[in-house]
Amino acid sequence: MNRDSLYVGENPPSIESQAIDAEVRRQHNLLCRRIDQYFAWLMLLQWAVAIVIALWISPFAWAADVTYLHPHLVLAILYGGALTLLPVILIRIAPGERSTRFTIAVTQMLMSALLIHLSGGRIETHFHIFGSLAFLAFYMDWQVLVVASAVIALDHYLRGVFSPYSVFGIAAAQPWRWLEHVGWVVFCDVFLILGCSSRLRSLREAAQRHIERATLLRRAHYDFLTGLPNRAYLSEWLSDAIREARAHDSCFSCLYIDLDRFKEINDQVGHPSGDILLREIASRIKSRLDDGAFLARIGGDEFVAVILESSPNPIRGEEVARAILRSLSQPFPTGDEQVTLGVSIGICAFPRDGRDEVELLRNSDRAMYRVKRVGRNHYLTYLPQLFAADAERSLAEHELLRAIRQGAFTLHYQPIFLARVGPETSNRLIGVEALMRWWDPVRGNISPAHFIPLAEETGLILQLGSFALHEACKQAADWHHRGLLPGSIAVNVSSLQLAREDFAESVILTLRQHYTPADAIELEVTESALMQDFSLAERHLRRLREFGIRISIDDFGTGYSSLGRLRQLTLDTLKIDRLFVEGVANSEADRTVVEHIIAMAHTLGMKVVAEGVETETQLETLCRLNCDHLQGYLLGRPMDRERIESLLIEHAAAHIPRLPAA
Amino acid sequence: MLIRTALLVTAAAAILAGWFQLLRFSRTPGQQAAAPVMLAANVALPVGARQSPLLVFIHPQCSCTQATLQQLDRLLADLPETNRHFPTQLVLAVYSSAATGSRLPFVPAVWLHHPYRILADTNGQLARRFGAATSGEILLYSPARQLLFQGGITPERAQTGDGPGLESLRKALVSGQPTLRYQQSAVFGCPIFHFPIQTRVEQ
Repeated sequence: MNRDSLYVGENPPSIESQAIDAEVRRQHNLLCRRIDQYFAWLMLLQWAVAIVIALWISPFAWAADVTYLHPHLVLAILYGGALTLLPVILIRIAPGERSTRFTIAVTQMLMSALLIHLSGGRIETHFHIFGSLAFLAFYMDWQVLVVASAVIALDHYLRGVFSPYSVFGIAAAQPWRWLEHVGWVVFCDVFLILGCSSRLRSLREAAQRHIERATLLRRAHYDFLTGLPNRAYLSEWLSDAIREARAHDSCFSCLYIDLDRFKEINDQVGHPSGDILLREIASRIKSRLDDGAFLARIGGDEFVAVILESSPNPIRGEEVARAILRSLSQPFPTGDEQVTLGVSIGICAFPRDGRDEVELLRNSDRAMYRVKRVGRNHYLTYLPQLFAADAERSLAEHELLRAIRQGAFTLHYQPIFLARVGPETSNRLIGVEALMRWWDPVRGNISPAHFIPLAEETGLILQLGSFALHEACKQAADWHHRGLLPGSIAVNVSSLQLAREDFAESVILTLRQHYTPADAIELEVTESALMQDFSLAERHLRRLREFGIRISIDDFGTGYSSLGRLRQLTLDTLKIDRLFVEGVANSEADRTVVEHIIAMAHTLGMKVVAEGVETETQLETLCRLNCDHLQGYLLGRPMDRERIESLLIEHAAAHIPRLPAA
Repeated sequence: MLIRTALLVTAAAAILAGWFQLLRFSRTPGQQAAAPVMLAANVALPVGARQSPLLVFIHPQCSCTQATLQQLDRLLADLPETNRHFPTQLVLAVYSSAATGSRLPFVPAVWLHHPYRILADTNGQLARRFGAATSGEILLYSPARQLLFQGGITPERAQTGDGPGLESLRKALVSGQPTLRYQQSAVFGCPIFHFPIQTRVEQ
């Protein structure tokens, strides 16, 4: 049983029940302190009244001609003083405590007895007892009433023993007379205690409502896992902080803290351990903050800290960021393992870098993302000039996304020809390469050199790549069934696409969706993309070749690759970058490189395509070097579907006139 | 905590001492001496020949005697003349001296609503003669000057209420027979004399 509880429970209390009990005790303690103060004043007043009564009724006693202070007056001062000062002192040094109110109960009852005696036993003063009990009932503690009643009963009993006639009158001989007197007090107590119980129930209900309200507010404003304020609370708090800072012309810095690769770590250790890890991370971050700082968890692995500054520059914020980086660089024990992680922190200052909470969070977020892009596990302070380009980039990204959604992209096709070996094979079309084109209603054609790098940076290349593959498959199926397609349509694949675990299967699924023969599609992959995750790339290419799809390595010579690894792959075509083709006719070095690339590719069983053929001299040189296929403006520019289809139709008629140079 | 304990112990001791002192003072009777069983003929009292003297000896400054007068007033109200065995005459023998003066500082009529006579007892000579040593002592004699009642009628000092003394006086007034005498009913009040008087007085 919880001895401090006002209620005796039969079952072990739940956490919520404990919280309610604690709240009831708190409110009850506040009430008792207030009542104690009232009693202090009441008892001082009673003491004065007792002295006044003694002075009025019996100030002096006489023995013949000798006068002296009446004992009643002396007792009113001294005895009454002891009955008053003891509880008053206790109220001062121990307000609200149980021992204090028990003492008040005892002394109040004895004061009632004194007042009755000083007034000569007048029946009116007996009501002081009942009034005192009623006042004591405000404590809502039935034990206080019992103690008070016991004191009166004992006083009455002892007086009845020593001076029965003074208490019981003429019927003193009757033993139940004492009980009759005390019975009135007990009768009063019953109703007072019932009232106390009722009030206690109301107090408990009020406490319960208070706890429920506090819990709801807490859930609405606090993160359940870490106990930190959440995004909603952060927003309110920042608004208040900005208002205060404006009023007092003060500054603070805002730290946007994002854990690096936390998703992978969470998957690695399991979510329950991940939750424990997050709590530990939050604890470490908090331990690095000043007392007046504010920390909130606003996302899965995102935190925001607000630090008070003494200057417009976020000096203290940067110090805290370094401290957080040091702290989080220490390993975290998770079961039998130890986990290390990094954190990227973006910092901005109020009012220098933002004038409202939205702007502050946005700018600190941008600074944090810049950290992510340049290497992670570091901090960066927002500077407007540094992020001006980001603003433009953000705008371009937004336009790109909109163009994708609006279907502003199309495929153009550039023909690939067999390198001339003899008159019977000259200008023979062996395939086409699909190239992405973006036509903007306002700006016209947007160069791929502009939007492809942006798409790769933003990840939108995945959507563009998927679109290109679907369109190419659909077109290849159509041309194939119409007998127009010689060879295959080559589609470029980005490194991001190749990095997906389901890339090979998604390509096969796309072909099946459009009923495209496998040999009608050729995928072009750069050597750099192959090397990023070679084992994964190898698995994808093996799967795709098993299905019958052809693979070519694009822009060969411009990236970084290991020839030893390339040897492990089974590739169909190697495409020499235009960089080498450009100087093949004039530069001995370029010609030598190309020659060796062609020899190597042939040795490995690959065909070679030379890109960017723009002059006859280049063409002749490449043919002389035994290049297999040629592609470039000299032979044919990228065309829209209608034009390339016309070319294919002409080719299919088995007489393909050589296209004039564009 | 130590200070609080010391405070509680000290205060409890003081309160207990005060409570016992209050009780002791309240129930400590005054001195009594045996009154003459027969009232001497040469004792001049403002009482008629057929009236029964009801003497109350009072120290004028004793505040506790107010309770005696209140008790007496209630008793006489309960017992009108027709209910008494003898017609009575209430006489207040008030101690007077050079120090106390001869006037009462209080007006008995505040508590007594029945006819009474005041007799100035210079230096307490009458009180000494009747053995009344404590303020509030009451003596009731029959018209034949026989002592019917001697003692106090308050249960405690300055306390009103039922008690054996009051009841005995009532019986004496109704029956006309002796009920209480010397030391059978305590008197609670201030001493009339500064020093104890003899326990027996001359008849």
